[in-house]
Amino acid sequence: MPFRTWGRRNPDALIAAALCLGYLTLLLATAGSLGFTRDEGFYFAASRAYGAWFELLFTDPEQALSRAVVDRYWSANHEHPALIKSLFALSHRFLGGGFGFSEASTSFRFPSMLLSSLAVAVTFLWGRRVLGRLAGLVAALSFAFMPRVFFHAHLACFDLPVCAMWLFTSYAYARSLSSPRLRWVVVSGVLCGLLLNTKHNSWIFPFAVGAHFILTRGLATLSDARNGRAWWRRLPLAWASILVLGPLVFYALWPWIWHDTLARLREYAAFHTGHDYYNMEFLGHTYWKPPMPRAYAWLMTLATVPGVTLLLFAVGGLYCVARSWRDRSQQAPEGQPRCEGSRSELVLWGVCLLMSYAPWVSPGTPIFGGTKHWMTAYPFLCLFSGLGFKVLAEALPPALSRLGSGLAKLAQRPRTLQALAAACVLVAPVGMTLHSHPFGLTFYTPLVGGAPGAANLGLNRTFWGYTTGSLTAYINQSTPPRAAVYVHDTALQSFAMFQEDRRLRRDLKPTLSIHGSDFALYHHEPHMSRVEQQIWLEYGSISPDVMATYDGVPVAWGYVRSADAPKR
Amino acid sequence: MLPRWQTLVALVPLFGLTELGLHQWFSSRAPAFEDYAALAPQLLALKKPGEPVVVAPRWAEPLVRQAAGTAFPLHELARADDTGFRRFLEVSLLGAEAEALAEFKLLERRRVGPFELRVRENPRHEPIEFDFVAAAERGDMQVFNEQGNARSSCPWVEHARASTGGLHGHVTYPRRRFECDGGRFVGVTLIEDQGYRPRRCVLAQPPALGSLVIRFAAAPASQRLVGWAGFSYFLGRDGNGGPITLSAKAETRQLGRHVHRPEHGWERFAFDRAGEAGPVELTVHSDTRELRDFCFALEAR
Repeated sequence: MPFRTWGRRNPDALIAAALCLGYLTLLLATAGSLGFTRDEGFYFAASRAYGAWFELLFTDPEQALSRAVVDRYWSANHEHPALIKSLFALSHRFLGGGFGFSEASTSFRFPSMLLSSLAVAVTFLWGRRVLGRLAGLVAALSFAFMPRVFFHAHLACFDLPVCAMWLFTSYAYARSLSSPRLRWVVVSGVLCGLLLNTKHNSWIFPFAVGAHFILTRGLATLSDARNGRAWWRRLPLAWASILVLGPLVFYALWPWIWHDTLARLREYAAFHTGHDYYNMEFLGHTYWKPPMPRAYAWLMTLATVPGVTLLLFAVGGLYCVARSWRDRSQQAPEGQPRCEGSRSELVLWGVCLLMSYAPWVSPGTPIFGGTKHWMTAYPFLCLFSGLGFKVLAEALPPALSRLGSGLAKLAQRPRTLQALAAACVLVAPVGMTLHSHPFGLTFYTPLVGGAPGAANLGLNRTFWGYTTGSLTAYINQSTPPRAAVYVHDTALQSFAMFQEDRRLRRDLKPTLSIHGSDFALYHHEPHMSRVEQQIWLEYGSISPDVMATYDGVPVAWGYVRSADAPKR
Repeated sequence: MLPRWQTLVALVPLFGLTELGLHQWFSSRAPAFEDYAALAPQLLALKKPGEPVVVAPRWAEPLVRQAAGTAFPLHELARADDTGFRRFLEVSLLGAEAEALAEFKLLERRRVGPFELRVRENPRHEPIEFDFVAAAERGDMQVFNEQGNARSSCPWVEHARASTGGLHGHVTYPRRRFECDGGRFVGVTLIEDQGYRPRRCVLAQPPALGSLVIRFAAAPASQRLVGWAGFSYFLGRDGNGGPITLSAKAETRQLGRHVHRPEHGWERFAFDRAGEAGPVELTVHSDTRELRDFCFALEAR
């Protein structure tokens, strides 16, 4: 079938593909100006170790599968599951160098970018199914153009991958509930295994599925049980798949747990349930031990997600609640959904969203990673925004026709009106997201006064040391040959990637010693101030030589050791 | 008749456009590097010794430091507190006001591009008669380890090996310092307080056994000694290590005693001196043998 014919018959698939490819292209085009985060450095190193094991597997499978060899290669960064780092490794193996990407870092980052782009496409497809095409498009683009999502979508980390995997799994699960095909049941189980193998946020997913079951089938199941009917027939078939295939896939794709499985799983769980509390600034206070502020997740969402996306979300959410309330009192006709779209799917969106935020209700949950921790909620937030847009699109024509004159004429052309409305609700997220690059973690919405307002309020300005990427030109030009660079919060492995990709000169020597350095980096967080104060005394200067700012707010800066302050 | 909620919902697109406009405004509102460069000569012309520069909002201070570094002598930038200074020079941008100076009398204001320079007078100014930290920096004191009645002198060293500990390590160990037995020493450094602001102070590492004695031979007459004590707050905030005692005495009488716990951060204390002049002897004692990076500032007022 010619492509044009296929496209005409499958416009939604075509739109989904265009969204995926467009977003992937945008991510690839902007990756070169984004520095390497601290955690990426550790994952680059782990991925190289896994990559070496894959090489061995291809050449000498028997040796590669021996316990000693598996443990040696897969012990690297075993506090996180292996799937995404394995993808980084394979991507680097097949797409790094030669005909692949010009920067090694991009080959590592590519799987994250691809998964993020697929998440945009799946958000569209799900929104399309439940809400309609334009609303689905608004949902997908609202997700793609969340500044923090755009930032994390670039990184060789697990935060956007787990967000994507959660979305894929819940989508497949929703399809399995409404479709008689066994395909979605199997896919749900496989995807759940991949989700488990992505990041520990996945531990919450079964609770979301359980809550969804209670809310959608709980009463009926209870009634069946009380009346002696076969209540178990109401249990979703996908549960069996999730319970059987999920753990199998999880186990199969993480060689580290092939041996000493239970002990290593216990260690994995203990690492995350007893994680250290790193420092995080919030409203002018640096939190470093519990109790953590309960308002953190909500306020940071308000401060970093475009206001119009949140407003549409509120419209969608309120509309859904109002309709459900009305339908409760006025029995809906048989077979007709109680709310716009599929009620079951809307409930699933709601529980996935709330479950993603749930850990931050507890003041004992660490907050050091900022918004990335609950990004699994964002596709669902945007799907509700899509619902809000649908409500808006329906409200606009009658509202405009009341105004008379030219606007009333516009009301008679609903498609044009809807397209204009979509442009209006997307232009701010797109504009803000593009402007946020490459300072994604410094970006804040106008609700808190942008980056300067957030700095006034004492909201975290940056972490992870990636903003070294904004100082590379100065470092390359202003440091002597073989100069030692104090890396501060940039991991040594991340610094090495700057050099491997030739963003930094290869003769430079990274060091963790201020005393032994010729150039000192400083990435600002309040608790890090002591590092800058040490630089002042060591270099004999309180005046930075170079500074990276975002919207006029200092983010990272550097000091050059002067001839008056020689190394001793 | 259209329901009111539908009318409100129809305004959402306008909200989107407004948000974009606000974003543009907020993102271009703060001064640029060129503005700071243009500010520097005017700031330096107005700056007088002993009048610390305060930047409001505080986050802009590194930009002013970059443009006009000499306006920030370290003893002013990392001052023990504000009461020792009669006047301050405030650099304000975006209409901000330094909270600490809010009640200070405004003597002069001048507009420089997007900035406002304000000279403010401190109504609670207490003149400093003698700065013990400055004396320590000059090496103008004697340092001993004391165990029982025996004292061993700690010599002044001009070119010791300086070192820095980084984020999780020790404070800066200065090059010029008094070196005592056991590798411990006394010298001037910086610590961060509970707001992570810099404080210039005398690093006084008490010996594993006995006490550290610091003797200032000649301190001019003053009504009292005002001091501050602390550890690096980042390292001390979890309270590990137990208390340290700093006591002060004049030639013949005890002036006072301050017990400091690391988790308290930068903490003020005062000893009555009743207008006396003459030597002041400080004793620093820790109940534990571990190396302690205790730091203090002291002024005769």
